[in-house]
Amino acid sequence: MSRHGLARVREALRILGFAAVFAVAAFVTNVLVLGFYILAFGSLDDGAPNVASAEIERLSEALVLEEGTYRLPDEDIEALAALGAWLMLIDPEGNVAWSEAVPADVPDHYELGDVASFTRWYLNDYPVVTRVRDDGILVLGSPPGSAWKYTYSIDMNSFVLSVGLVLALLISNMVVAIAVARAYARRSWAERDRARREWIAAVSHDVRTPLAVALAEADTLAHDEDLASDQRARAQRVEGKVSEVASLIADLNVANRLSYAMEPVDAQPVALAPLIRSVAAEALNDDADGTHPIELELDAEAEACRVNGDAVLLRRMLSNLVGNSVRHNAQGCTVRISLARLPRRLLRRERCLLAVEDDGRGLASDMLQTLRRAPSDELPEHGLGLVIVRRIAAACGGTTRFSEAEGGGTRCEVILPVA
Amino acid sequence: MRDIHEAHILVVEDDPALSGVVCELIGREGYRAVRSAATVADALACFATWRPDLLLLDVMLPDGNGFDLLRSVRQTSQVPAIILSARDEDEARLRGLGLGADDYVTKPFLPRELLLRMSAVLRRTYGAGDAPRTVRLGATTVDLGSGEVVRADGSSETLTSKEYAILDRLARSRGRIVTTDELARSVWGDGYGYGNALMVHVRRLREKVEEDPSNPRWIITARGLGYRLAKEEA
Repeated sequence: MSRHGLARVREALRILGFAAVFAVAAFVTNVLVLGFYILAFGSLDDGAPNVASAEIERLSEALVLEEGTYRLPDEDIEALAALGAWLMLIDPEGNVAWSEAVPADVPDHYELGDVASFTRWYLNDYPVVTRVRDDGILVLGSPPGSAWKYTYSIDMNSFVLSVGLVLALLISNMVVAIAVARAYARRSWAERDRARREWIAAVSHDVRTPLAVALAEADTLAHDEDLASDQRARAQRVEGKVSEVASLIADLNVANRLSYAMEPVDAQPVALAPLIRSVAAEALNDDADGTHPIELELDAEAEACRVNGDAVLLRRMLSNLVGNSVRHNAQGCTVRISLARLPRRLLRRERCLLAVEDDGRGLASDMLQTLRRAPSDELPEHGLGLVIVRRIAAACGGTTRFSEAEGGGTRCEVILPVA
Repeated sequence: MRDIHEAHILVVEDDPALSGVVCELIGREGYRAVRSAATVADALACFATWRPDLLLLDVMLPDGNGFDLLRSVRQTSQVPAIILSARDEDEARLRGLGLGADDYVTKPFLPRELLLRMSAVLRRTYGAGDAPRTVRLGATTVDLGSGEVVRADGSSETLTSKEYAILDRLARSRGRIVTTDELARSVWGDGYGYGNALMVHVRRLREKVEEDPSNPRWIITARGLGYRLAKEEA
């Protein structure tokens, strides 16, 4: 069988399993509800006089008194004979006034007690039904064992309670059904998420090796002294673009890890100031023409500031913020990074404010809108880097705010709880 | 080993293009003995006969993975290893396994970053067996073997161990900013709380190597960040 076929069989078996679990759960619930009902409202078995069936009603109409003699049409007599049934009329005094095919063991006189008994149960083992007429009681008997005589009656109170019981059962079964369906859906969602996550991880893994080759080759050309300077510059541009793709892949991986929350953030106290210096130094080292100076504002309090988080992720957050300012302002801009402790508020953990600001051309308004909306699981079509900033901040228990800087550039504030 | 460039380096990578370019890169850097293996079996065979001094290990290999390879190598040898991985998760896994790799590089990597890390690992493992290097600062030269500063007028002076450590670290990333945290780590082994002490040592270092220490030409301050050793103008 193909792998696909096997998977379908497995899925079908799993659904069957869930259905069985549901049925058992529903049954157990029903029994419990029934038990509760009986305990709370008492027995439902509260007998009342039987109501004659349609058949005896018809026979009663057919049996007429003509000139002092009772007569039943011939076809009814034949029908009775075919069924092995019999019919008799008992007058108000208890004597049999008329009968048809009555067996020998059926008496021809009845007391009140006899009547009360057979109307409800059996007459000498014959299941009987009765019909009260002006001239007495018509009794229709069937052969012994041909019918299970069963009287069902219900008083109005029980009837209302029964309707309530049915509704209660219905609702409780629905609750069980929803619980089972949710459990099933959650499991299959978790599986789908895992499959998606693994797929992204696999793709990015496969992309990284060729990227490593491209980066190494471009770097080799960019530093090849035998090449003309414009060719080296071209190779450098290729290197830069490959690095951008590499950075995107890294962002995608981080988003992948954070959005499906499969991997809890490996939180440890991380000193932010050295991380800020390191990211800033890296950015300045890569800024060969010096068009993107970086200013730091770190006071002694900020130096000692540690937050709970993953150093790799926090570094990614910082370099995304700085990288965003640099990339969106190719003509040049000053990036200002500041870190400060926020005044402590009552019953709140101490927090620090990390702000990265530039005096460049600012974010497009639609991007600002996207970043201001509540975080969702959907990745935007562009601007992945800043969305990841927000995700990382959230994973470390913090919040972000993107706004326009006073001079018209971009300002991002990240508020993180201090470790 | 007198010179780290004499080290035998084994590159274990199944992608022929990457393996080729990495070997070429290492060779161009001056490492004379570089070999490559594409499978765990090849690598183990090569390890038994050739005795490499440094392993560069890819994680996913056709007949196994780099972690298992490292584990079996570790049973007999403490040879340093740098893991080349294409997955972010591998670092956590590596830590979890406690296999003691010496460094970890995520693909794709910048070639010079890989080379820097290689030389750092080799130097750390085999001592300062690096060929004596000299740092030229205009008319002044510093011999990083002996820590001796020779000025244009012939006068000379010796660097203290801390000054030496600072200059050595700056020289290894010449032209690039090295943060105060990193400098403190190479001097004291810990990056935290040495800001003022570092400033003092840098000032003394400048007095030894700069013509005008209050207006430094070589050891440039990157304000708030760290220091940079200026490149010589070609």
